[in-house]
This record gives sequence, structure tokens and C-alpha cells, in this order.
Amino acid sequence: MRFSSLTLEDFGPYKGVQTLDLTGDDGVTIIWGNNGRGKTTLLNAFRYALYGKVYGRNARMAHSLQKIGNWESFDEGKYGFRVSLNMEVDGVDYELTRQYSVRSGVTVPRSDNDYKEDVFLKKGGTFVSPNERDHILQTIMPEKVSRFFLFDAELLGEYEELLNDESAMGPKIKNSIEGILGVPILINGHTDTNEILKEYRKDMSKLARHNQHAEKVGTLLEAKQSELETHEAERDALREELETLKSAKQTIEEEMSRTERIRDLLNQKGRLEETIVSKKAMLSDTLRELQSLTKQAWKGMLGTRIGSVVEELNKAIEELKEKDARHVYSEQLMAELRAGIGSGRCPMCEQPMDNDLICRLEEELKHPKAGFASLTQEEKTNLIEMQARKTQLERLITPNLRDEIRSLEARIAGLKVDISDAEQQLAAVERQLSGVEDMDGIASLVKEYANCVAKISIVEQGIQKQEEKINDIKHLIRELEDQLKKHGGGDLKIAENKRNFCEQLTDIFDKGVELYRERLKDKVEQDASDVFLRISNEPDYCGLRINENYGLSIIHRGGRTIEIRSAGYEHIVALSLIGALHKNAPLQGPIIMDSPFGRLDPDHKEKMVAALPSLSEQVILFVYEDEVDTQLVRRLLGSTLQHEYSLERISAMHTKIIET
Amino acid sequence: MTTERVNDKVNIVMTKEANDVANQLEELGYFEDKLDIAKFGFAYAIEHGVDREIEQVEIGEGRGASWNVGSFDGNKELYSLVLSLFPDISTPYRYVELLMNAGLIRLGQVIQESGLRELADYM
Amino acid sequence: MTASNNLAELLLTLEEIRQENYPDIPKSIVERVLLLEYQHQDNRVKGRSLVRKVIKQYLREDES
Repeated sequence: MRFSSLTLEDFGPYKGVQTLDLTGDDGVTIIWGNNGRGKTTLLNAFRYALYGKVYGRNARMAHSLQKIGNWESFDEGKYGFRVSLNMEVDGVDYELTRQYSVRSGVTVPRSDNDYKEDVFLKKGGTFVSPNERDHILQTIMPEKVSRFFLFDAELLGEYEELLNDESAMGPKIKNSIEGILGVPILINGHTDTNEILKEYRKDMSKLARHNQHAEKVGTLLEAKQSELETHEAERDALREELETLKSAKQTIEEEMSRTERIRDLLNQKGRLEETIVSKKAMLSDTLRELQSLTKQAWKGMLGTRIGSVVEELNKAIEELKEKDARHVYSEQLMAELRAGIGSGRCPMCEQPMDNDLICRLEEELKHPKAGFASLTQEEKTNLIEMQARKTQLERLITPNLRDEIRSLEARIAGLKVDISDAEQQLAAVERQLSGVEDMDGIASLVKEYANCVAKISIVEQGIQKQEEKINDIKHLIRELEDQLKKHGGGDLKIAENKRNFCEQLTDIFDKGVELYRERLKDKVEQDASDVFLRISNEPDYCGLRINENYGLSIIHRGGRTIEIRSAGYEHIVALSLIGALHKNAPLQGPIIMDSPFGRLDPDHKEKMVAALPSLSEQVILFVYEDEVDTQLVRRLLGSTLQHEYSLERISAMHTKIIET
Repeated sequence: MTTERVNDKVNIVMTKEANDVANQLEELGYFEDKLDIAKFGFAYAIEHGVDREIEQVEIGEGRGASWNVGSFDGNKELYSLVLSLFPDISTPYRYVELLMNAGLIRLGQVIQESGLRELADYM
Repeated sequence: MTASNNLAELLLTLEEIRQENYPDIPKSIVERVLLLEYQHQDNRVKGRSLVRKVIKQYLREDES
């Protein structure tokens, strides 16, 4: 489909009747105009003609239509507006007119209620019925895929968000894209032929029931067919679930790789917290151990002093004991001498002693030498006291706990260092984690992923079981049918053939969906890469890679994917996807873009301009004057530039479309 | 003798200055309570011969932590130790108090000069 | 490039499967069903009834 012309009457700032001629060969049409002149209104004009809707600045909000009419015309008493869109589809001309006019009986309209809307479609010059009109429009440009054809920079931004695939939007967008690429057509083919197959199956068993012989078999056959349908429905439901799960798995994988760093930090945080807790417990225990030792420490510290005092006491005790011993010995000796004096014989040898010797001995004995004296009373008391003291002191000697205490102190110092190191590391990790939202969500990603994988496995097993069951039942049905044939005759054979035919037809569409999806992804990836390489000027980027949800990643020469893209590159990747979708969609249409160059640097702008003609057969751009260099654009596009218009200000409420 | 023993102290009291030193040691967290520090100070005094130069030690004044002798020396270990080590002392608890304060003051000086090291270094 | 050129992609896919697995199913019927689905994406009820008609017609012809 291509647009041939757009005619406006009193639509927005476009006063009176103004036409945009879009006929020509494949190529690009540019409409230059600064902000506020009505570029976005032109985009809205296409939208209004096709769908009766107009978007305000917030792309999602439909405007009140009454306010669209040209204000100057309104003041002059001319109310309402009209948009006519001429299109060409497969060689047939269509003219779509949508007008908003005042209801009869209303002189000056005040609200939307005072207006009515009429829509007319001409096909090849002839008006068509409203039903046919709606049907044709849905075929040419269904509203739900219009976002891929009509978009402005804001929506492009929205589209880039879709590419980022960060939320549950992933599967929805995938459906949307598969919608434009024609996958639903095949799915519908499968669903419809399958429904018809069911009808033929029922026919078969109904036929069997009419034959008396075969009634029982027929009843069983019907039951089995019903069972078969149940299992097929179950299998189909599981297949859908599998698609959803695979999509979700993809989304989680991307989330995981995006959040890998954060999850590492969370793990570190956990480990450090554990370490701190356990080391603090060890510290506490060690301190208690130390405290029990320090309670007794004072005793061991006295060892040296006690030791030296005990030594002194020992010396003194020894001296006194010796003195006492000497005294006892001398007393003994004196006793023996006295005995000798008495007997007149030497106590040693028993020889008689002469009188001289006896007299001398008597004298000696009267004056004993000092040094053999007995202990004085004081000395005796002292000795007892000293011995008591010594015993007491010896009892008080305990080992010095210095070494044990030193080793505990060292352990405590070590633990304190470990704890403060860990606390510092923990603070650093927490700083890195500050500002991260949804840490619980991120932490649970691994679990989510595992759950998803497990579910996928279960569903796949479920599908397999269902298919086994389906095959078994089909086998049984065949056997029953063989039985029926023996009784049923020709009619049944014919019904069976019809049933077989439908089965095969259904299967073709069923397999077609999978095959087409795969092929499509490859093609879209290839085409998107082609467009991308044409626009990007980074020599190390060698293409794009597509994932389950039609998200695209840039591939670096080394094989790695580029995770974080600049806003400009988001733009380029989004455009690449749009180009690829247009190329692969069964629905052909123009691309209309508002301010497409906004985020690109001059280099990329140039490349994008050069790539424009390849995005679609008809490209229509709304561009503001400084967005891109006019001479450059003309030079680059050459003969592919079909039309150039500029929007000129006549007054604040009046813009004129001028062809340049 | 007996009359003098009657003059012995019934409370062991730290001087303010000794108490300050004890507080420093308490901050280590290595003693369960100040009583243990008091005994440590006492043992320190004896081990390092502070008793031999006791007149040169300014033990300080005022009142810091205190205990009655029943809590301080429940099993009379200290009592018999002092009698055994210092037979000339007739008021063992008074002497214990004196040595405790002197020991802590001396320990405080050492800490001030070379900083608070490991407890084991003072043993 | 017209709409039918891209429909051709869909047809090619189905044709590949048909040739390999179900050569007895005529190419024309697959094409007709696909075309009907394409033309009536907006009205599924109508689409299904037209597909049913086409298949029944074919089978009745085959019958005779």
C-alpha cells in the first residue's frame, strides 16, 4: 500500500483545502517545518483518516475532536473539518474521506455532541458499503499494527523501550510483532482447519451409529474422538504455555545478565555479614576466656617474690637447724666425756685416762665453747614461725599465666582486625548497592530462573505425554474404524478419506507456524543487521542478534553483545528493526516518521538519510529545519527524493503547505 | 599484736588517681570487674618491688572504687599471703590497700611513658 | 513489492512442508485457505466459514 495524497480541510492549522501530493516512484517525501507549525498535526491527519483518532502530546491520549477544527475558520463561521486520504493497494485506487461536520439544527457548535462524523470509502471510484469499507481498512492498515507505520519521535522512544524488553511487555510486543509479520494468519489457518477436522471426525462416527452392526463400535469411536479432542486441546494449551514460559525465561536471562553485578554484590554482602557475626561471637567467647584467666592472674605474678622469700627462709631455717644439730652433737660428746671421767677410762678406746687428762677435761666441761650453744627460746620460736611461713608460701605458688594471656590477647587483636576489615568492606559494598531498587527481586532472580526452567521442563514433558496419548488414541481410532469399515461399507470409507485430508491440512498449518517463526526470526535478524550496518559507523560492530522476544542486541566483532547502548544507538537499532519488519511483513505500507534524526550525531544522520529509501518503498518524514542539513539531504537522496514541502506560517492559527 | 590487728581496715579503697589507672585498664575489656584489676595492681606492686620503695610512691588521695574485705578476700588468700610474705606487717588489709594503690600508680606511670601495651607485658 | 509478494513467503513455508510430508494434498487448497485467512484477519467468523466452504467444496468434488 502507498499513499497517493493527503487532503486537509480546516484540519488543525491547515485552513481551507490543502493537499500533500505523495504520488511518484519509490522514495522519500520530506516535509520541513519548525515546532508548532503543524508537523505532528499532519501525522494526526493520517491517523484520523484511518482510525478516527487524534493523539495529543501524550501519545496515548485521544484528543477532543472538536478542538481540531481550524480556529480562524471557526471564527469566520465555518465549522468542522475533513481529511481525505488517497491510497493505492495492489493497483487499485482507494479514496478515504472522514469528515466531522455540524449536526443539522445546530447553528454554533459548542461541544463534540454538536458534531457528527461521516466516513466514506471509494474503491476504484465507486463508493463501498460501510461493512466492506471497514473490512478493507482492516486489511490495508489494521490499527493494532499501526504503531510500526505511523510514529513520531516520542513513540520511537516508546518503541526503544520495547526493545529493551525489561518488563512483561516482552511477550506482548512479541505478539504484536508476530502480528505484523503474519504469524497469526498461519495460526488462524491451523485453528480453522482443525475445527473443520473435528466436524469430519464427528461425521464419521455419526455415520457409524446409523449402521446397526456398527453401533457399539461407533459409540466407542465417538468417545475416543472426544477423548482425542480433549487431549489435543490440552496439548495446544500446553504449547501456548510453553511459548509464554520461553519468553519469560528469555526476559529473566536478560535481567540476570543485566543485574549480575548487583547479585555479586548482594552475595558479597551476605558473606561479609556472616563473617562479622561469627567473628564477633568468637571475640566474645575469647574475651570471656581471658576474663576468667585475669581473675587468677595476680597469683601467678607473685611467683618470683614468693620464690625468693622462700629461698631466704630456707637459708635461715637451715642455719638454725645446723646450730641445733651441732648443739645436740656436743651434748652427746660431753655426756660421754663425763661418763669417761667417772669411769676413768676413755669413752672411745676404753684405755685408762691419767689424772692430768681427767682434770683438764673437767675444766673444759665447766666452760663449754661457744658455738655449741643450744637454740635460744627466741630462735626456737623463730624456727617454727619460719617453717610455718615457708609451708604457707609454698602452697601459694601457682604458675604465671603470662603466656596463656598473651596468646589470648593476640587472638583478640587478630579478630578485631578481621572484624573491622570486614565492616569496612561491607560499608563499601553497601555504598555500591545504595540506590538499587528492588534488591529482593534481583536476589530472587536465580530462583525465578530455576523455577522457570523447571516449569518449562514439566510443560515439555506434559506436551510429550499428551502427544503419546494422542498417538495411542489415533491408533485405537484407526483400529475401530477398520472394524467399522467391515460393517460400514463405502460411505464410511469416504468419510474417512475426508477426515484424513483435513488432518493433513491441519498438520501443514501447524508445522507451518513453527517453521515460519524460525525462518522469520532469521530473516528479521539478517535484514535488521543489514539496515544497522548501513547506518552505524562503528567498524567494530558487525551486526545485530535477535532473541525470543524480538529484542535486538548489537554484536561486537569479537562476538560479544553490547549490553548498554547510548540513546543514539537505541534509535538506530529501533530503526533497523522497523526496516526489517517492513521488509518481512505481508502487510506493505509506508513509514511515516516525525523528527527521526533528533538523537543522532551528524555522521549517523548522514548514514541514516542514505539508508532511508531502503526502509520501505514510501517514506514520509516530518523534519524541523535544523534537525538535518537540507543540502546534504537533497544530495544524498538524489532522485529518491520524491517531494519536498515546507510548512509556512501565515498566522499563529494558519499554516500553509508549500511545495519546494 | 592483737590490738593492732583490730585496727586493720575493713574496706579496701582505691585512691582517685589509682582509680583512673584502673579505668584505663577496664577499657581493655579484659577484666570481668574492677576487683580483678585491684588484685592485679596489688600483685604488680609486689612483683616489681614497689613495696621496697613505697615511701617514694605518691599513691594519691580521695575515694575511687571500694570493697569491704569480705567481698575482696572472701577465702582469706590475700590475708595469709601478706602474713607469710611480710611477717612484720600487723595490719594485712591496710598493707594490701597500700600496695594495690601503689601498684596501680606505678603501672599508670609505665603506661603513660610507653603507652598501653599487652597485659602480658606487665605480668 | 506488493502484498502478495510477502504472502509468498508464507506460501513457500507451507509448500515446503506440504511437499515433504503431505504431497497428496493439493497445493491449490493450501493456497486458497491461506489467502482467505489473510483477507479476513479482521473477521474471524467470516474467515472460518469461508475456509469451511472451500474445504467442503473441494471434498465434494473429490467425492464425485
